[in-house]
Amino acid sequence: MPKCKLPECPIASGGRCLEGRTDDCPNLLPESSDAVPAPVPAVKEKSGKKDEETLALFSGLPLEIADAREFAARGRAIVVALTGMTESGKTSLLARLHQQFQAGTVGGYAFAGSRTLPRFEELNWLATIESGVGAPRMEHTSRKYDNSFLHFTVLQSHEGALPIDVLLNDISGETYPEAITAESICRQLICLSRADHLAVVVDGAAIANRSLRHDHCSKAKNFVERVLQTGQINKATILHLIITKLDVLSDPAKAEENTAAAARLEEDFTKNFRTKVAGVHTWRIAARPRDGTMPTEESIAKLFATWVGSTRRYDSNPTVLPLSSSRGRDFNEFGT
Amino acid sequence: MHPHLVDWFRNVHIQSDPKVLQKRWDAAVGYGKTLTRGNASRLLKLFLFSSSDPAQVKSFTDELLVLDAEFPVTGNVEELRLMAGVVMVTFFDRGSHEADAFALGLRCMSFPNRSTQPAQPEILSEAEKYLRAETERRRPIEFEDPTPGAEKTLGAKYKEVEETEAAGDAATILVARGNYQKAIVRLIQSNHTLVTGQIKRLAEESAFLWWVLGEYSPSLQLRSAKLNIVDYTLIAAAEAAERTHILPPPSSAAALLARALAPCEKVVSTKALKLADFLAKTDNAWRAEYTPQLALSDCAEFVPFATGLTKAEEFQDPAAAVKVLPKICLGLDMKHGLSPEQAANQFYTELAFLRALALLGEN
Repeated sequence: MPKCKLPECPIASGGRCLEGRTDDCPNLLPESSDAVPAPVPAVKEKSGKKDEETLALFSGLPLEIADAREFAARGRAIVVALTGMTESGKTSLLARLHQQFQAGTVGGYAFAGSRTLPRFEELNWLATIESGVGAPRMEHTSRKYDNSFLHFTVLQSHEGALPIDVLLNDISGETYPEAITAESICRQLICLSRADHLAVVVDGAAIANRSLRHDHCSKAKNFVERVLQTGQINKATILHLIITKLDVLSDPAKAEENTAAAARLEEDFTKNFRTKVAGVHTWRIAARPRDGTMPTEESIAKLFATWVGSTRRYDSNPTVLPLSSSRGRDFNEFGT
Repeated sequence: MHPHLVDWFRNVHIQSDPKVLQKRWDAAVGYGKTLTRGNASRLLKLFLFSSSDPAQVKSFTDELLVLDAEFPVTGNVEELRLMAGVVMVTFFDRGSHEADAFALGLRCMSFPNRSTQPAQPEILSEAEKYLRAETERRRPIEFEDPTPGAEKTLGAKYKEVEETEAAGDAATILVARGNYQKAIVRLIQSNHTLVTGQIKRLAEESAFLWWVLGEYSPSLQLRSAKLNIVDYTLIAAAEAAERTHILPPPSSAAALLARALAPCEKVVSTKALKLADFLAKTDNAWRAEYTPQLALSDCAEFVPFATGLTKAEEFQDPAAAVKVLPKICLGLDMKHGLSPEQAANQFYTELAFLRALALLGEN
């Protein structure tokens, strides 16, 4: 009859192993053994130890809010929200940023790490001919990423520079028009309230197309109106209007008309919103030009440097207080 | 809980959870209960500068963990910096030496062109709001006693004595008489405090006003018209601070200082003046007598003029003091121009801050 180190195990009395094991149970004693050595730690304890030694690996997928907090809590993280219609070029811009960092510094900032590198690699791969597709194409950002972030850590070259975490919130092209029409959907864009920068991306090809121009331009303005109305952006947010596909916009056949339309949108944007937000910047870029000839690296680098280098969320000037309305003594009020 | 706490914590939590915020607020209130002078300086440093000392970060984390076991243990610098500000805000809803020290410390850091990185800029505005409200609360226009009159306060107690005497129980009579006597003492004490406060207010006003009107420097024993404005700037600030009997200082202090400096002999161009000029031109004998009373050991970075004068005295050389000052007072722009009025107001605020810091623990 087998014996067990565990006194309460019924196997010695012809029952089944307490832990449901067979002959390989480490607690089984040889038939001849009389001494009862100390019991081997229970399986549960073993697995506990194993858990302690296990390191969680990063999935490389966009960070959920809970994960992004790690960066926001450790230092001054910059949050940039990118929004625009489907195929407006938001994701191409992100892919281009990744490519530029592979080539060196961008706007004076060197790449110093990323928790979402596999996702950047994926975007980059989809944007290249080598991916096997006939022409570069981008995967549409899924709605599931509306409240998540791509992550970069960058570092300036000067001595003593602290690493800066940049969290990029890529809002899906499907959510964008719905947020304009439904306030409840707009309010679900939680990350927007934390954004230092809101970049509204407008498809330059749509501006060049008379049948799409009005719709795309109106939506860009309406989206900003909506998020101002919900209070998701305010005087602490810097607004960017990014007109993409500059190569299409600059098509010599319609360059004059297209440029005028783009300028009108930029002017409207600046005039309508400059007093309601911390600042308005306008950009024209070609993140993925069709013929590969148009140099856009410089504009993208400038855009990135503006994102990382300026914020009004931490503006240190205290608000100028109005004079007291209470009846203070003249002595206290003198000269104030 | 402060109504803007959700917005403030959005910087670090992205999406703030009200339950977590309540815990953070409670921890901040708890921390404030055992605040010391050293802790106050440390909180100001943490809140204002992003390059934090790891030892300070660890020690503040450990203290917060006692109050909130779920507070993040590592990678928490920005959250800690915000918590430092929140601790300050917990004091700003009522007058206290702690609130005075924090608010004046934050005001000291608004030195022209000084670079700081407050974890939440709105807390600077909260500090200014507190100073504005508290200076008025401490200097009300009314001189009436807000407490009920003596007859009303004592009447009920006296009636109690009469009733117990009529009942004739000796023990109850003794208790009632004791309560009546205590009420009289309390009334005298409160009236005395009220009158002392009123006298203090009036004394401060007349001391300030006679000083401005007299156009005379008691420290240098010279008429201000005979003094160069740069030579007198810091000394005038110290003279004004001596005449400030109530903290926070009056809102009119800057205007009164400007008036006090107005009769002085002007320099050709005040635009070219720098912090170093004010340190160099301040009378050596006055500096030697004044600086030993400045206790700066734990707060030198907040008070550039006070530190500059102390170092100038220590080295017996203002130029040497100017060299070390940017290392002590981070973010200070030594090349930035300062008008005599700005310099005087800054030094005056620094002295008020040092006084508030010295009063910590006396609440």
